[in-house]
Amino acid sequence: MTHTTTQRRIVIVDDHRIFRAGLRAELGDSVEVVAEASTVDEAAQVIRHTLPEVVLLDVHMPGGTGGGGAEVVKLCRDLLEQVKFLAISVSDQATDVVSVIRAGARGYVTKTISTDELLSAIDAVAEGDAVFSPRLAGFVLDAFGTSGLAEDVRDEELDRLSAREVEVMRLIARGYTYREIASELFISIKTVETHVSKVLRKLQLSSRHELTRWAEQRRIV
Amino acid sequence: MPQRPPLRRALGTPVAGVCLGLSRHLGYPVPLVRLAFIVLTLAGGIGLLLYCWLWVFAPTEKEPTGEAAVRGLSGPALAAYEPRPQDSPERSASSKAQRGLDTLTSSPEIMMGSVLLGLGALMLAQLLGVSIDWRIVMVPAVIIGGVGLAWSQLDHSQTALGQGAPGQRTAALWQISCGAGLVLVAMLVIAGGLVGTGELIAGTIVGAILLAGLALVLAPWFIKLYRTSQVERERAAAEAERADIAAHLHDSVLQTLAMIQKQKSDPAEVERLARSQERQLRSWLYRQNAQATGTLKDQVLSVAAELEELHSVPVEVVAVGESRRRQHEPLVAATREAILNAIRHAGPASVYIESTEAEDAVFVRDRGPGFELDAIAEDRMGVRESIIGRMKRGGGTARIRSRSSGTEVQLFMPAEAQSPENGSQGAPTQVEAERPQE
Repeated sequence: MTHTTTQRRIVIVDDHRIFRAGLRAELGDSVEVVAEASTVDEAAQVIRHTLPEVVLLDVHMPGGTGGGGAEVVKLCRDLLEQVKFLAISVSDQATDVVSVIRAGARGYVTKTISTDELLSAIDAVAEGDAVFSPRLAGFVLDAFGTSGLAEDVRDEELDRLSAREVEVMRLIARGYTYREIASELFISIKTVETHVSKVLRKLQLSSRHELTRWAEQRRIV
Repeated sequence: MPQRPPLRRALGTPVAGVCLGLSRHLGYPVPLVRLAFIVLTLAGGIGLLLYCWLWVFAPTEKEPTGEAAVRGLSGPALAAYEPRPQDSPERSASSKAQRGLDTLTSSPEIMMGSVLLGLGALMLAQLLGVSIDWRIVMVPAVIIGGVGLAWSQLDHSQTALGQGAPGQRTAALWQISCGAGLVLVAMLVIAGGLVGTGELIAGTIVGAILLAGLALVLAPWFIKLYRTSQVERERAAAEAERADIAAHLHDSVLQTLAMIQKQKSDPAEVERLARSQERQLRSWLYRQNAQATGTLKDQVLSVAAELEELHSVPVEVVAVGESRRRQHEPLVAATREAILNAIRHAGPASVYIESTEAEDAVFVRDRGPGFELDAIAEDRMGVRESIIGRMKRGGGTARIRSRSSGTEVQLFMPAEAQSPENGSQGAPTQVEAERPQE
């Protein structure tokens, strides 16, 4: 794993102090933790104040109107160009994942992720790429269907994935890294990243209510 | 002196369970209570009135009362409903008579029959020359019928009117309005006997106006009362759920945490405990609505959980779609073997299940150093026999890709594949071992 020499400025938002401390220790000198926050309102305030590159965001936390991580992202919607959100949670619930992604987070990882993977996820998110865990890719495939279209769908068609996007999602769900996907599909890593970002955009912008309804039905994971 | 059980209407009785409930409360045998009600009813209808009174004011056994909060944190969230002994133990001497009396008084058919018999007797009397004013008989009968019809929904109203199926709900509403209509008609007939038609119409209009005025004044109170009770009910439900969660956490998580503190010198054991507790809690939190096990996903999940526990190596399972097959035996067994291989030789494994119309596919991926399939001696049964052979016999295919960056076992089972014994032959199994790259 290669990290950029300059430290990423990050904010950790989680309501468990022990977890924040653990994450801080784990990340060590690889990043610069500029602030921590434990509630929705505190988080929104701190993020506005410090303008970090990446916010590590828990999904469930007290404060605000009870919207948790998704609410923090919504409160900082005007900052999404500068501040990128990476959701990090123990929850496997589809509603949690989908709601925070649809609010505007650039990725979703689980708290059991290894330090190296987390660092590269932070890097990817800071660069403007999307970070999909296998599980999130599974959700996407489940929500949009696995068939995909033979030809590339037009960009404005938000309710469906192109065949290539389905293929990329499927490989992510199978545990492939972007590099492996690139060599598997004979495309560049940059193209893989483009596909993933497109899928993220579709996940965020698709207006089809099936998506939310689907997520609500899947309380089971 | 034993304490009396509270007066609760019993469930599963022909009318409203008043008699059975009362007999449990008072400690008298049911037939006696029923007989008393019948005698009282014949004596000018007092029994009927008393029955109606109790019907309205005694709660049923099932109805929740405000006891949930009293039961405390670690108690069960809902008091288990235990079926009581059906009747008081019968002594040999009077048992026969009592049992006869019980069947005589408890069956709705006999009740119906005796009502019809009484009707017949009245008709006979009229034929014999006794003049009977049918209004005096029919009107109360219609009132009783209407009230019974409407009240029979009383006990169902919580489920039927609240969140029941829409069909059920409209049926209940129909029943209630029919009952109300019957009673109204009977009342009008009574009034018609007292005053003339013109006055009756005028009186009805005046009555309606008065009712409307009264409703206008009282409606806000009723609405407020309804809202308050709704809120109370929700609060009670939330409280019950909280008690349930607290009880579960107490049983599982706190115990495990205590064990972890004791085992703190043994990191492997601590990790194992934490992992198994995590899985248990997760399944409890997210899957309690999904009782159906036996789907492909559930089976693979349980296999993964078992192996994860056994070897203390994480296995992540991602599943997409629902399988069309009923039988997953060869696929699950082969998946198990593949996961086992991965965690034995390579460490953490990720499993991806994708079910489409056409087939079920399972991918088991690890990040080990990889291996050359040809280099494996023929006598190593693991891969060849238990994965590839098994899938082939089940009518599916297996493919193994091994590279320097890890190994992936790919298993495919067509949706309508049959075992070769049933005729159709599985597609040939491909084995593809690629040169290590980079």
